[in-house]
Amino acid sequence: MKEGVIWILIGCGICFLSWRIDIGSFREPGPGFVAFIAGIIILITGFLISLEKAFKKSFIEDNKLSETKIFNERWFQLIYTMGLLVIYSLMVQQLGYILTTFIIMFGLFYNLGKNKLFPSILASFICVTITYILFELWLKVQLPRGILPWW
Amino acid sequence: MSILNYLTYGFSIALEPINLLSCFIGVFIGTLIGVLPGIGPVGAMSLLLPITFGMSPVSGIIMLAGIFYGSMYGGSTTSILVNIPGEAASVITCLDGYQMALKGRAGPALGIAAFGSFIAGTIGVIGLMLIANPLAEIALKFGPAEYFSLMFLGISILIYLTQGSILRGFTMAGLGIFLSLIGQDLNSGKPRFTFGLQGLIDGVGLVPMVMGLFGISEVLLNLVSPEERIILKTKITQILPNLDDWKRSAKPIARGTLIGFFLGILPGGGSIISSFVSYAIEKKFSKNPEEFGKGAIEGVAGPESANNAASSSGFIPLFSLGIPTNVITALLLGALMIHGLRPGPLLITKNPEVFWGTVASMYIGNVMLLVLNLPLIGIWVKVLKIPYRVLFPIILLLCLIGVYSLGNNVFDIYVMLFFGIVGYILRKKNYEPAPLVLAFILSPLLEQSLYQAMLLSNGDPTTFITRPISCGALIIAVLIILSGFIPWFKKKNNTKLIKNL
Repeated sequence: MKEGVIWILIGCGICFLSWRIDIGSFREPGPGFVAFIAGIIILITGFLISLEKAFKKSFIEDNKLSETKIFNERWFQLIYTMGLLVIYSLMVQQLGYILTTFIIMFGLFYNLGKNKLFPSILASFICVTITYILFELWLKVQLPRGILPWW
Repeated sequence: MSILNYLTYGFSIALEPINLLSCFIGVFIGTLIGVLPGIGPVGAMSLLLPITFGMSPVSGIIMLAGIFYGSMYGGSTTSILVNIPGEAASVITCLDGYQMALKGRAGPALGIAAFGSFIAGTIGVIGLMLIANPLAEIALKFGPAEYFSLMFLGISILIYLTQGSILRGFTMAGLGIFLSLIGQDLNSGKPRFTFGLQGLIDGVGLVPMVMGLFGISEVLLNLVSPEERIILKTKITQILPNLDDWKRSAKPIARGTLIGFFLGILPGGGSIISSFVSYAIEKKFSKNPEEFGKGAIEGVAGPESANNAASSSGFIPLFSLGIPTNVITALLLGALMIHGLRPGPLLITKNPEVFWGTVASMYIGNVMLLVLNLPLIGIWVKVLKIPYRVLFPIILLLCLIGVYSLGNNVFDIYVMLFFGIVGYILRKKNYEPAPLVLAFILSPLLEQSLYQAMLLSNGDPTTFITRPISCGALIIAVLIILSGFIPWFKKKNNTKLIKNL
């Protein structure tokens, strides 16, 4: 039920935004025309999903079988990894590629590698070195310098 | 120029050292990601797309195409040895491939998968060469109305074939259409749906979105539900199948090739569906259907041939019509556009080096794959032993660098992470991201075709039903959509398919 309502709200939002920028008509479509149709599709399917969930229990059960909870007992891994990636995106310009990547890779290896300190440091160092050589030196990608401008 | 002349021209391009190297890198990485669970061909292609920017369009497309068909080869290795498919098209190979391995016949299973893939892949390329060019000539007569209807048909078929509920497929397509419209409006030049964010003026990037939906979300899913990989400790001695294996596999390979080839051309079809259909047909044709699921070599030969034939024929609509049939060819379409090429019927005549160079490279790539897959099987088995704790941080790092290197822009990383979370939630809730990506790629063309059709017909909407091809495509699309909405029909179908399998 909740799932359908979320889609209905998203569909309504898209329709409203499309209407604001001019839908036009089928004969003379405006910039919001196709988006409006997309909004209507989401709105209708959201409504049908709600109905499906509310009335056709037997039909839904098939889908529910393979549906899983967003968070299970390993939720910490998910939050931790996403948290590190978000930190990476926020810090990479300031701290630079080498430092940020080393810290984040250490965080990932340390967590996934059963908290082993030295192997995690070594693996992070190898990753940073190889990717730096490959992308910065060979492929000439301008990786962020940050606080280490000489790199 | 005859086809042979064109092919010779294609080989002259494909055999250039840089293109040979691109082909090798492509098939090598394709096999690698096919072997490794955790990142599929879509993720790998989007990851490597930025690297192709510095290459010529031919080399770039050759490499990306190599990843695609290379992954089809590599996917069978994990299915047979670990019972975990390296990519979705090899799911069905697990059923009999793993059973063969348990019986000590991993070698012939891997061998027939490689040979079947080689035969089907090569025949698929011949078909591509023969059909794409004439089809492109016919397509030159298509107008915007035909294009609109064909693209609508493509999205409809993909939605219909989406796993789970068709309603969810529609929702994903609607979302994909909306996301594709974010950015500057082509007609007025005004920004739309950008919410005041400068980074969205150029629209949502295809690569960050695909990498988020398929790369990051895949890693997150594996983090919360890790799969146990138990690699068989069997010594793979004899890889070449014996005479009896060949006798039993010859017809499945032929049938699989045909099935894969024709299903690969259809929008929404492709390697996954064709491997399932091939398995069901082989079981039906078999004199000993009870052997299926217990180590029947036909159950490996047919599907593996089918998925490779489909990966070749999937290029036909892409090169001749500019219409992708699945997410992978959609990504290739994006790559063609990024390289400044205009996919469509004129691509073959205006850029023959891209089409014929890619076709010729596929012959070479298939030979390379045979060499890579059979004698080097030991290496791939070792690759399989790389633990997740090493693999996942590396995949995440490559995603981060790959996206950043697109335009040296951190905003692209935000977009990727956003879609990583969205993809994770959607997949947990049984929403397939494939219709979203296909709709995302087709919608700008769909919108443009709609505007042009309306302009040419002086705003007469009947233009879509008065033109035969357009009308035919729309009727098929509507029938497909309607059939998907009949729950009992769907239920019956699913039961039938499960029974067949």
